[in-house]
Amino acid sequence: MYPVSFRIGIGAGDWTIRYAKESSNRQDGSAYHNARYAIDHLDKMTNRKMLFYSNNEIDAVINTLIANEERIFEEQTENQRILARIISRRHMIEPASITKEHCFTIVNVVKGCVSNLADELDTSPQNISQNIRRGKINDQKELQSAIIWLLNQHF
Amino acid sequence: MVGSETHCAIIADIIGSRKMSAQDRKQAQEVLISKISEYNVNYDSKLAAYFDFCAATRFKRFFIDVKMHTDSHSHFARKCILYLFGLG
Repeated sequence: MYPVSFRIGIGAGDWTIRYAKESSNRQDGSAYHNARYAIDHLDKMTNRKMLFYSNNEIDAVINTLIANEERIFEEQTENQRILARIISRRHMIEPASITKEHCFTIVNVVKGCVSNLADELDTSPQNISQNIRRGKINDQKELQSAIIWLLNQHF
Repeated sequence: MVGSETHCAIIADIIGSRKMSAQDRKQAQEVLISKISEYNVNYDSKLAAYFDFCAATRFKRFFIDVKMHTDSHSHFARKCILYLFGLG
């Protein structure tokens, strides 16, 4: 049954009705309703798997970035996805530390780890570079950095 | 809507779950629960209970709802997004 695919609605907002020892269904607030709004709209967007909603102007920007990131992901081969994941886990910046500058300089971080990755994966640096280029991993990492930075800024 | 007053909720729909067997669907729910749980920085038993309860009670609708209840909600949101991007 693997891989399992999900559609995800992420909502940001208030959590007004709280019962500390009760289940999720007993809680309520705009965060929940925003998540519901997001996933309900995903049903009408056949090519999308994730939508963010906070009833805030920044949503449009974040969702545009998410859509572009999803598009790159969909076009990647399985090996390119694995490579992107390894780069993220071993060589990327801690999310909480991402600044605006990282959105423009992340390409250098990816470039800088080519040799290490080639050693780790027992392949040539050229092969790594080619997969990074064809998989648009630099672009993907820039988008991800921008999304995280925006979330850091607004929430 | 800024700072510690903002919370995050996530609703996840398992794609293709209507065509899955009950066993596969349950397994898919468990995958989602475990993966999201990994990225809750303040993981505790209460949250685990939320996950379990939702997985059971929303079974027919194939939804799992995650309601955040910590002050680190925005961090959690970022972590979830990181996971969904394969960064986690």
